[in-house]
Amino acid sequence: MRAMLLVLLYPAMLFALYCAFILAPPEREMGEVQRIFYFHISAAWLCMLAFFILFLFSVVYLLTGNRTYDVWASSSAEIGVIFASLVLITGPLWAKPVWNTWWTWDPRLTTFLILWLIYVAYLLLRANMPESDKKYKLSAVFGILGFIDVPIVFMSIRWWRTIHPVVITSTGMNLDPDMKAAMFVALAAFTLFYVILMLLRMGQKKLDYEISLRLGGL
Amino acid sequence: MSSGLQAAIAILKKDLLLEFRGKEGFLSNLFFGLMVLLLFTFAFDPSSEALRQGKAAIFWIAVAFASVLTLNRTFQRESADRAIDALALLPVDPAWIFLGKFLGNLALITLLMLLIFPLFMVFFNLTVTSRFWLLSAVCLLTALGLSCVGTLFAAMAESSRLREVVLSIMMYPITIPVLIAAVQLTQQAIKLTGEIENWHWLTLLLIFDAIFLAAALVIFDYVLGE
Repeated sequence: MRAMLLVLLYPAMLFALYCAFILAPPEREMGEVQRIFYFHISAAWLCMLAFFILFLFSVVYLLTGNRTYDVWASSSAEIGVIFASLVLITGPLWAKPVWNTWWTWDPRLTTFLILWLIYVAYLLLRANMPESDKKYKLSAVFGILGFIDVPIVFMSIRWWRTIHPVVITSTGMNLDPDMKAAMFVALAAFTLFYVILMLLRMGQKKLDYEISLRLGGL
Repeated sequence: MSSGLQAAIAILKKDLLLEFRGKEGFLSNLFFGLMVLLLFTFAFDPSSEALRQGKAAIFWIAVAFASVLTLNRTFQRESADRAIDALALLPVDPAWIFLGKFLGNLALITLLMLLIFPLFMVFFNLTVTSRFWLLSAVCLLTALGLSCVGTLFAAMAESSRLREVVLSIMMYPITIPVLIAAVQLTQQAIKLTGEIENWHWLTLLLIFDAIFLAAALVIFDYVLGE
C-alpha cells in the first residue's frame, strides 16, 4: 500500500508544483512571492491535522492502553512539528517582502509559535524518558493538555493584541479561481504526503520495537 | 472525614513541614526571584517609558522563574527511598494525592509572591492603592493556575532525565495565557488613575484555572505509578 501511495505521490506533488508556479497567475500586489502561499497553507493544514490526530490517539491510548495507538500519536507529533517548523520558516520568507518585517506579534502568528513550542515540548518529554508504558502514558497526557491549551492561548493573545493598535491586518482571501485550484491541489498533495510519512514512520517504529524485543530475548 | 481527604491533608502537612524545617530550598528560590527582579532594574533605565509600561511583566517573570524552582522540588522530595511508589500505593483516589501536593505548592508560590512583591514595590516606586483587592485576586488566581499545571507537570517530569529543564519546557508554553492575564491585570492594579478595564482577563484566569484543575484531577491517575 505504501508503494502504491508513493507512486501516486510523485505525480501529485509535481502537479501541485505545476499549479503553484505555472497555472496560478502571479498576484497583483505581491507578485511572484505570493506563490509560497500554496505551500505555507498546506503545511499549516497538515500540522493542524497531525496535532488533531495526536490528540485523538492520545485519548484512545489512555482509554485502551494499546501501544499501537501511542505509535500513531507520536508519529503524528513528529510529522506535525516538522510541518509547523516549515510554516514558521515559509511565513517570514513571505512576510519580509510583503509586510516589510519578518515577524509581527499578531494573534495568529503568536499562537502558532506557542503551538510549536508546546509540541516541541512533547517531543522533548519523550526524548528524555526511557521506553516504558509510563512514557507512553505521560506523553498521551501531555498531548491532551497541549491540545486543550491551544484555544485558550489563542483567545488570550487575541485580547492581548486588540488592546494595542494592530499594525498589519490579515490580507483578504478573495482568490482567483486558478489560485484556488492551485491551493486545493497543494492541500491534497500534502495530505497524501502526510499519510505516506505516517505509514513510513509507523513502520519504522514497529521494526524498532521488534528489534528491541529480539535483542531483549537474546 | 474521608480517607482521601485525610491523605491529602497529611501530604500537605508533611510537605509544608519539610519546607519550613529545611528552609534552604525555599530561601534559595526566593533569592533567585529577587535576583531576577534586580537584573531587570539594571536592564532598563528606571525612568524610561518602556519600564513604566512593563513593570508588571518584570514582577511576573521573577515569580514565574522562582515558582518553577519550587515546583521542581514537589516530587523530588519523594524520589528518595522511592517514596513515590509508596504514595502510588495509597488506597485512595490519586486525585487526593494531587490535591495535597497542589495545595502545598499553592501555599509556597503565594508566599513567594508575598515576599517578592514588597521589594518590587520599593524598586519600582509603587504605592499600595485601593486596588489592593484586585491585586490579591490576581495573585491568588495566578498562583492557582501555575501550581495546578506545575504540580501535574512536576509529577510527569519526575520520571524523565533532565527533569528541571523538562518541567520548564513543558510549563511555560502551557501557562502563557495565565502570565499574559496576570501582567495585564497587574498593570491595571498598580496604576493609580484611570478606570479599571479589561475585566475579561479575570474571566480568562478563572476559566484557565477551572479547566486545568478539572483536567489535572481526572488525569493524575495516569501520571502516578508505573
